[in-house]
Amino acid sequence: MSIPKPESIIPSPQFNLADILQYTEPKQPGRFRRILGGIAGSAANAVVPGMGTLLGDLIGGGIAGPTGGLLGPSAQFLQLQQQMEIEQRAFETVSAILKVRHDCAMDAIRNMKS
Amino acid sequence: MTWTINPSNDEIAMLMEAGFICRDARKFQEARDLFAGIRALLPKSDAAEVALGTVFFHQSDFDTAITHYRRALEKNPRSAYAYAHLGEAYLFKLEKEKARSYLQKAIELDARGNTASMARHLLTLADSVR
Repeated sequence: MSIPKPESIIPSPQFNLADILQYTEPKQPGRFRRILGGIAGSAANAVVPGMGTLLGDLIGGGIAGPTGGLLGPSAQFLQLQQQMEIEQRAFETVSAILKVRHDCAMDAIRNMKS
Repeated sequence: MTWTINPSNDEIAMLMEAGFICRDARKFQEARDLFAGIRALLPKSDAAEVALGTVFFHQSDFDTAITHYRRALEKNPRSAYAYAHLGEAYLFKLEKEKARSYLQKAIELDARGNTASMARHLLTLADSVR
């Protein structure tokens, strides 16, 4: 019985320089996140100026977090999930601020009546 | 000819509401006129001064908004409403430390009101942004 050589079972890794750079360089925000950040920023700007800048920063890569590196696919999915949670929290925060600003304005009106 | 105007509280509240509607509809000049009119009718009111400041805030003129908020604080140094908006304006100018101190002050002055709630949410936003 012949024993297979390890090279025939485990394929030798074939990476080129671009692949290595992709995994080792700090990650830039993805195109989708940049676009989403831009859209959310514009939408928020229509309601409150400056909110767009803050929200855009928040979603479009302004969050301090893991910066890529030698991550496997599952770690990348986990990172993506975390980013989505951060985005959701950002929208919730901005939505809450808009609601409570309106409530404050209503309070000011009510105080004028009394 | 001199006009004597004595509007009721309900009429002033209605003018205030109209001002906010104009502001949110981006009719800034009309909103400014309405709030300036209310300020003339109630010269001691901090709310009218803050409302006038919010129009400039909505036009991204944060410095003028801050001037109005500070004027409101001269009229009422314990105005949580003015402090919260002042903190908000500094946050949007990305002066986070100043923003935090004014928002904390708003929470101290009106711990249970909507103003404090607004300040708390803005503090959360300040913590989230780089």
